[in-house]
Amino acid sequence: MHVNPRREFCKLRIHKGRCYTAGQVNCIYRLGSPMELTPEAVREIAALARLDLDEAEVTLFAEQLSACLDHFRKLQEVNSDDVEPTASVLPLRNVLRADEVGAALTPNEVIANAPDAEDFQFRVSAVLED
Amino acid sequence: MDDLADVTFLGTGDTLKLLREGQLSAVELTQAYLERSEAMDPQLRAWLSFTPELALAAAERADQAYRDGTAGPLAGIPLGIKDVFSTRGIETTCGSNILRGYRPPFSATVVERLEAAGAVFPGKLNMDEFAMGSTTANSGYFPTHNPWDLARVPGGSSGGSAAAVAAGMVAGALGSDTGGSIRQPGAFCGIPALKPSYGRCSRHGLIAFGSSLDCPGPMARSVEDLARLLQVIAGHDPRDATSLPAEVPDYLAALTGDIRGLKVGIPEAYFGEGLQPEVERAVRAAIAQLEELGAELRPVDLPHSEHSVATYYIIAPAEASANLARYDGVRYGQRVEREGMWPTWRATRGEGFGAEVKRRIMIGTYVLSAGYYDAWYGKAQAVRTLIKRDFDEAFREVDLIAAPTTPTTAFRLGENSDDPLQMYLQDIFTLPPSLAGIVGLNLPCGFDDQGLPIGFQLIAPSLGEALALRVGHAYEQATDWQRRPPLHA
Amino acid sequence: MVHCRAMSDWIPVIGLEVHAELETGSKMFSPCPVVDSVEAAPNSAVDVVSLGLPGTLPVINRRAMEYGMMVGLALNCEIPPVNRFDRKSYFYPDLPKGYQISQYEHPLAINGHVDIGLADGRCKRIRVRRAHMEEDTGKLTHVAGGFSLVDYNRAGVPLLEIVTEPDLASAAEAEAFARDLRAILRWLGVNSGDMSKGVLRFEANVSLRQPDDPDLRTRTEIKNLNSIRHMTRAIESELRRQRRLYEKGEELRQATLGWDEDAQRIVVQRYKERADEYRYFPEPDLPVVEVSEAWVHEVRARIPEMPAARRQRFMDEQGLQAADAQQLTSERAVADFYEAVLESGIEAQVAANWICGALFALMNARETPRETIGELRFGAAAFAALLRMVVDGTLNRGTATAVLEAMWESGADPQQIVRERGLAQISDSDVIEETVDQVLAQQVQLVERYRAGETKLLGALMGQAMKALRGQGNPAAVRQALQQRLDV
Repeated sequence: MHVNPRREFCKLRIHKGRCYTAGQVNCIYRLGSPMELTPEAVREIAALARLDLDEAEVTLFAEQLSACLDHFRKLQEVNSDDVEPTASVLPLRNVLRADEVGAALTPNEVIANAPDAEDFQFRVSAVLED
Repeated sequence: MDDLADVTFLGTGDTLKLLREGQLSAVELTQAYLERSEAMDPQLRAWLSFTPELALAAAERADQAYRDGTAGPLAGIPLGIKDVFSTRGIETTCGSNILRGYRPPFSATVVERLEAAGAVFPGKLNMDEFAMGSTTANSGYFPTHNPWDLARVPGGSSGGSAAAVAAGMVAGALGSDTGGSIRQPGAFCGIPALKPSYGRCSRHGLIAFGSSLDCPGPMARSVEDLARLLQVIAGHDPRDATSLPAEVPDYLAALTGDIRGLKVGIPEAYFGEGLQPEVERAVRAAIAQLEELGAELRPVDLPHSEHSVATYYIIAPAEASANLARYDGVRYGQRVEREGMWPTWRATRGEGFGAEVKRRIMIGTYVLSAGYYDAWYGKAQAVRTLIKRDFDEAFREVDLIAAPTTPTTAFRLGENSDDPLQMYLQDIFTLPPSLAGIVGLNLPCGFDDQGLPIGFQLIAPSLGEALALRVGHAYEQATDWQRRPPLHA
Repeated sequence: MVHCRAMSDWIPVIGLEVHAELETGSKMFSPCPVVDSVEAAPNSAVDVVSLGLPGTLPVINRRAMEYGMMVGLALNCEIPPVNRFDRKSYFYPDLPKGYQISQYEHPLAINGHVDIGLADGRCKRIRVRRAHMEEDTGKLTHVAGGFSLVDYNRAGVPLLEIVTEPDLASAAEAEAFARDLRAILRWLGVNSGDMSKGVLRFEANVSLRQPDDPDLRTRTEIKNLNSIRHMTRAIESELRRQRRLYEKGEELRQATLGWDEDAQRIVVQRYKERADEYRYFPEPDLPVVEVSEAWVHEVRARIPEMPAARRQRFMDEQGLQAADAQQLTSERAVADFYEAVLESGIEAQVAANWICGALFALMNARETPRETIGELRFGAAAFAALLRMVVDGTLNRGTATAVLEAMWESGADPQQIVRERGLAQISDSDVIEETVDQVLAQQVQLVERYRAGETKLLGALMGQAMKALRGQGNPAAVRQALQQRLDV
């Protein structure tokens, strides 16, 4: 099997149609034990969310989020076998619009709120790999 | 009118009558509200941005419309807009520093509809940052105070709206409710406040927090006023694919005063441990009042409601973590400049967001990560199905459900602020209807020993707004809990 | 000791990931106009939704979904009954919302295939794993001073991502697939195939394997390929690079690569240390899309007859030669033009001869691409009217070509051109006989030689007679008159 680039982590493990590392799959079953988010995990999540946290915040969040997740762990006790997940409570299906063209903003309006702009474009520091 | 001081506490129906009859001009009315704001707001701090000149200009247009006979259903009525709603050309921050100075080039559908109905907007009301919180102390700017006790919070996230309405600074306000943000501040400030069904009011222009939960809704000083506001803002919007294409009934006509024979469900489990005794007494008394008015009481079981805190605090932060990814300092809002794009990006978000917002982004990012999705997000979605199913089953037996809105009355500013989990647990009664996407109406039903308002909640099925308002109106007519806070200008 | 293997042991394993913009009028999720993002002024086609302003919401463009379904069906895919959009989260300045609305678990189309022709004349089936709808991103331009500028004109343009199975075993196969896919997209009228404008973009996933490999080897991903030719060369180059590494006993690192066309070499853009974390979850702003059988049926009916089928029909039903049928189906517009000419009552072979002959020659001379055949100053009906005058003898071949050129310039009706210029072929027997008599009287020597047996001189006499008739004589009538007199 050649892996889909979108699912490249698939080469590791597939569980219920999603792909995990072996460690992650173990985690799913490990939720039985008290939940603890280490400061290291907090830093990783913050990096993923592109959030600078100072050390005090890392320590505080590790404690607070662990307490929350530990409480949320009770959900695992609920029997939800064969229960369809609810992504939306709406009975709606097939809400589509006709391919009709409306107005665009003017380039001036587009950049009106920009922190930095040049030639009607948004300016950012050159993107380098993180 | 001679006594302008009191027009600010008139019911909208009476005010509209005076305006139509020319006994009061919209400009006079607006000035009265502006004066009251100027007197009250230094203590309450409800306004995030205050635009009296725009309000007066709108009032003049309303007066002209009365003269021309083209006045809309809310012409000249001053209403507050929670800062979660986009307002064309007017600063819209969602209570966050990251959006300081942002002026949207468009208005939210619900704002447009109120504007088209002739409403007058004196400004934008304070809120917890990105609608995350139940105190309005999470505002990125300043906390708002409870008009019943300035040392206490007005609730949140629509705390600015609740305080302003309760204090007579506006005739009514727009709020938004994701997990209780309309109903809980309504209860804390002693005003009727309605979370409509998910999809009843367009979310276009409502700055997203939890997209599958967010509901715009009205807050006012009477059920009748809620009906007038809902009449204008409800209805399908093609710009929101999740807006329900259902007819909007005549909500005023639904206020018949007659609730005889209606079956009201009582979820006994909601009256358990942790409920402040005065709250329990007041809510039970309200339920007894409903029975006296001719409703039949039935016990109902909502067994999965106990899981609503965990379910909600996984789903809403997950959606929020994506919804708030757009605040990067590139296209709008504030940027915190650092050497290089990614450091700038992280600093912009790290400094632009407050602690509660960052906590929820962290939870949401974590529960959506590949390895944890099924255990947290997937599980929460399944339990959401069970919570919704409980209500579906209950509504086969009863027409609506009565329950407390909050476990306690308003807390002190600063209370629980270092314990987010304790704070989240306070949302236990407002979360289940949010997760089920159904109607929740807060109604004032008494005061505790310290004179703080108590609210109870009528829960109705999806699109059951008219029913909830009808029962709420009958209850309001039979009781006397809608009082003016002890504030002196 | 490193075990050396022969070059021939290595088997290329190549999969393609294709991003095709769909040519709708408005964007995937809003009424914002779609423009040529290369030509348009920066940020001139951006609305509140494509800018990702707070509070804006997506609404699905029906035509984009149907174009996607058409491509899926043309690629022999199944269209699953439930379609769902998901949010794919990652941060980049060209992505306005910090997530892309895409489809993850419930794509628009799955399990298709394309049969490509190989150099040796055989066919090979390349499986298409999936095709899903998403929205395109904006564009970043790097400028002096260490800055990048962002233009969101392209943000939100409907994008169909097509992913093949790794069935391609050479750069040539990848090229053949890419060309066929491009032709299909163009034929469906959903994508211009203009890779220089980025409306069609290919990415290749390349790895090598040995016949006895138990597991997959590391693969690399080549991005930013600006033409099919570049893609082919990049794949060839990357296959050589991987082979060299393995033969030196080195490890291949998983990486995203680019192609430097000037230097003709692969450049590493970044090494992948760990899997991307896209945090997919169902898009709460969009209700699911259920695709009924009736809807699929309706969309399928809108798919034009595809080139291979049409070619076969031209041969089977109209008796065309393969070469003509091939040329006439090179572009959908050409085939449509040809069939419109037939509908005007022109015989198939005549229409084919004149389209592939005089008309294509003229289009080549005027550097007019064949796909614009439907946009010429004259339409198929006028062209058919011209051919009718050839068939009925009003015009001879040379005059008809001149009339065609006049039609090209002015767009005028061929009959009008012929009338105004007095170009109608002379079939009047009195005129022809009189002219022939004069020619024969002048060319006494030629006549004698002809009668002495040099019958090929008939051509020269024909030429003289036609010249005297200013090229407008009906050749058959002139020939008949000459022969009547010469063969007495």
